[in-house]
Amino acid sequence: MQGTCWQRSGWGRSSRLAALSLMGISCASLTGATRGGPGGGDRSGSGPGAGGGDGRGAAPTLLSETALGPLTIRKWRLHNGLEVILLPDPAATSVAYMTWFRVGSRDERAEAQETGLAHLFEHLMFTQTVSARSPGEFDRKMEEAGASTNAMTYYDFTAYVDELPPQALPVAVTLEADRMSNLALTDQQVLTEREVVAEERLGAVEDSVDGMLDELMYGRAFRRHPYRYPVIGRMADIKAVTRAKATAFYRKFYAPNNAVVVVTGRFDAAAALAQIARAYGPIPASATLGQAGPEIAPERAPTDEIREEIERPVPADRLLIGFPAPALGSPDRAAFEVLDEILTGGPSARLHRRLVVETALASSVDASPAATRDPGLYSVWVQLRKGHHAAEAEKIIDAELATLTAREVSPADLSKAKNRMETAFWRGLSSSEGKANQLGEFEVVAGDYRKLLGRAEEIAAVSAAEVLRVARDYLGGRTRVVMVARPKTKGRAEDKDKDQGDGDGDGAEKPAGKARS
Amino acid sequence: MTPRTRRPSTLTLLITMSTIPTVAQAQTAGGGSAPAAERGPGPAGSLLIVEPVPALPLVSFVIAARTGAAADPRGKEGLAAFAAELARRGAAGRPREQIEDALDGLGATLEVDVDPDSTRLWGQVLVRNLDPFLDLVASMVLRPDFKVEELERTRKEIVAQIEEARNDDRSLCARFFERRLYGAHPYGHPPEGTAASLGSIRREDVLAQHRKVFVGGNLVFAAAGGITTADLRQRLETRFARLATGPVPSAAPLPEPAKHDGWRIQLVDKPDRQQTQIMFGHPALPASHPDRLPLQLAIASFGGRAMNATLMDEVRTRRGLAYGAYMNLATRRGPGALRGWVFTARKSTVTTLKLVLRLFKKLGKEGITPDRLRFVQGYVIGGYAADMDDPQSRLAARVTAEINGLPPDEVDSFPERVRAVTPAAVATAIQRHLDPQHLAITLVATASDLIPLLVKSKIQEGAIDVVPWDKD
Repeated sequence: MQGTCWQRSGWGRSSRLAALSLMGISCASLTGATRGGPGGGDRSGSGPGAGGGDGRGAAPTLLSETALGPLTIRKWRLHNGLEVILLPDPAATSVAYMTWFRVGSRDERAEAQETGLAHLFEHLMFTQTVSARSPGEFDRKMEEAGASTNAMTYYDFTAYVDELPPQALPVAVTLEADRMSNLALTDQQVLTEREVVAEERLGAVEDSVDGMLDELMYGRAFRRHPYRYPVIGRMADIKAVTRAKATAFYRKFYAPNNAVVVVTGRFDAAAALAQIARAYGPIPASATLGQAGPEIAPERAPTDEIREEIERPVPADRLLIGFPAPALGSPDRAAFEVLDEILTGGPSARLHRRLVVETALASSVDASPAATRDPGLYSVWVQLRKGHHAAEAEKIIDAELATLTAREVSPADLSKAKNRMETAFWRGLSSSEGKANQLGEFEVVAGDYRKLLGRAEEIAAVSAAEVLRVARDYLGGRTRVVMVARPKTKGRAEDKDKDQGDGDGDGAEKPAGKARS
Repeated sequence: MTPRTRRPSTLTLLITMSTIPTVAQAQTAGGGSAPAAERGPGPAGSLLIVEPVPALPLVSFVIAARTGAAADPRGKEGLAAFAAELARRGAAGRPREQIEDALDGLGATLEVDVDPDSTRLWGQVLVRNLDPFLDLVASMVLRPDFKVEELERTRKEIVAQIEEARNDDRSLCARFFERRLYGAHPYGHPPEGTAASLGSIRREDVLAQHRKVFVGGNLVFAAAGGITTADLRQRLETRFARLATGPVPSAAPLPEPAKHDGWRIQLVDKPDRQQTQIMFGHPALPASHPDRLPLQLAIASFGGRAMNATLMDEVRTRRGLAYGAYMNLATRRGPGALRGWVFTARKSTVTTLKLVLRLFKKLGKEGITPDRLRFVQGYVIGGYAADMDDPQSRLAARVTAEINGLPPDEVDSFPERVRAVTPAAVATAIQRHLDPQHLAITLVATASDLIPLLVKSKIQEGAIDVVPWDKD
């Protein structure tokens, strides 16, 4: 545990990576000349790295070119719509190869009991393909080449991560292209992965106080937007996934014109682009992607005050408050990130100072805005100390918010936040995997990888007046979900299903404690 | 809401298992070669390790003392961490709040990390703010205030953090397992201490600890980032000229941990658990032992990060019993440890426990084939490239190698040495160091639910030690 060091939560990627991924800097040397307009203007791919045809003879089209310090990021598009972002770095020791699909839990049909399908399908992508028929072939070949693989699913995306020694890049290109169009599922694989994901859910939600609070909070905050459903899915839905459902999902969403390949690290850009064009070029674009259904309307949530308590084996109250938060690509996002930093971004941040140091009510406080395509939630976590209660912490949080919404922050506070964010920005970009992760996230969630770099300038330009404005807009009203896990005060809760070990995993559907709104 | 991943991150695994670098970190150097680090004398007889990365506007910085939690006096466990934490909470007459304001104002981070073998202050800072950052760090090392009121406040904060960690079942399991694993051996000291041991620590203990630990010959200064060795040395010499050069704390060889008497189950009883956390293993060899690398490869084959590792393949892929199943070899200056970790639904606990123990026994009996060794050598060497991709990771690995008493080229020569491991060397290491008959086993589960299942499967109730989740 080494609990003596300062940490901003280590419990979740959304809090860690989202925070890191939003770090901007004031350093003018970061961003250099950027070619290509918003969204990338189509131009011929005859520039550096334009390597060869794509299997149908068409050259990749260069969409944009952007400097990251001494490095250059280029974005290309193949004829079938696959987008490719390349960031070679001769100082790296490895290659990060990520494939981002613009599909996440937001695309599931909850009314058809399909929550969790995007995530479970992500597991199934590691099984076998038509051309590599033996089970586990993908992992075996990748690992023989020295590569490590993983994947993640969120509301707005599914991403596959390969970390490679440089010489293994051709292996990754071949295998990733193969599974984009040739996956071959069996009933047994679906059954096994259902069990694995059920185990994942038990540990991450049913037996995790944070996981449960988080799931309940989103379920209460959103009334119609799919963010109300858990990414991992309801337990009953997980166990109802079939090969037919998974295959239909694959056919619908896994296509080159719904994907972005991001490659960073030690590789030759021209050779890599040529390999990618050859491997992915023959894959046809999906003609039905745009027919997936009506566009999901953003929902700003919550719109009122909602409170709920549950009992769990915790040493003292665990408090989670969800406020409205701007989307990752929102014009308000930079100022909101600065606001978050001022509130919780270090040992001297306002909430930490008040709750942990001065009043000694809490052992930790942490917060982060979700990195979502549509407006999400700003989650503030507080662990109370024994003998103290969530209401005491909430009172202090309210007092700090009242101050933040009453007057502008000082120049010193503003400068401190920006300096911390600059450090975190460089930390987040120090590895090949970090670069690929952030470029991909901004491309898929915020709509353009260049917003990652532009965010630097935005943050540098954030004024105290803007911080005041977003504080009032997002945190000023009493629109919040307040979740509290209290220590169990009596005998164990009855659990009729305990012999089966099944959590109901209801998330948004059933109350799990006392609720009022 | 957190994104859902295909498997637990290695980072999570490592944090859960301990802070000691293991195969996953040490197996780090592969395809692309890592930039070379420069070594030389630091202030007051210390060692200085620097990896210049000219393009990076950031510096990662570490001061590591070769004294950790294993040296904490009995009854005062947690002293090393407590003293180091307190040093940054008041120095040169500046109270904690002023120091934290100053560090945050620079955009810097500074953390305390204590493991059995070392105490580290480490952080990151923008190159342009390096001077005021080093001023602050030097004041903590040379002029800590150790004010009584801050001592009391810090004590309560650490106790509260120990309590908070009980929320997480994996952390909870690791805390109990580590003590079970090593028993009365100094490596069994909880680095963060306990409420009782922290309560016995007085200001004079802290003062004596700091004076003992922060002497030049006991320290490693290390940095990576936008700085040259000559430049950093000059900045350090200026600021740490008054660093004590007194006697270095004894680094006498640690005793061998007592062998476990067969195997018993320690059951950490936590209410309402639907899943069981399982950790199992036994003490093993020191990092400097010639069998260490062959044994690491055997364990990587058995329980490493690869989906084709034996545990992952048998427990998850073939049977769907768990989301993850791992074993690593924790390397330390003294006796390291083999530590397995798996988590499964309550109803599958007995099946899974028996399976992983059977597989471990089979590894001890049959070893691994030459083909399997070739596979794991490639995977481990490949993994090095990613693990060593960023300067901070390389820095941590170099400092850990130094703390563990390994040669200066440990990190850089790792791939070559992995390639050179022979099947015979692996077989010998397994035969010498695997002991499936004498294991520490810790479970976190609800005792009233699990004990009947264990007893039903012929595990004698007398072989189960139940301990409450919220004590000690």
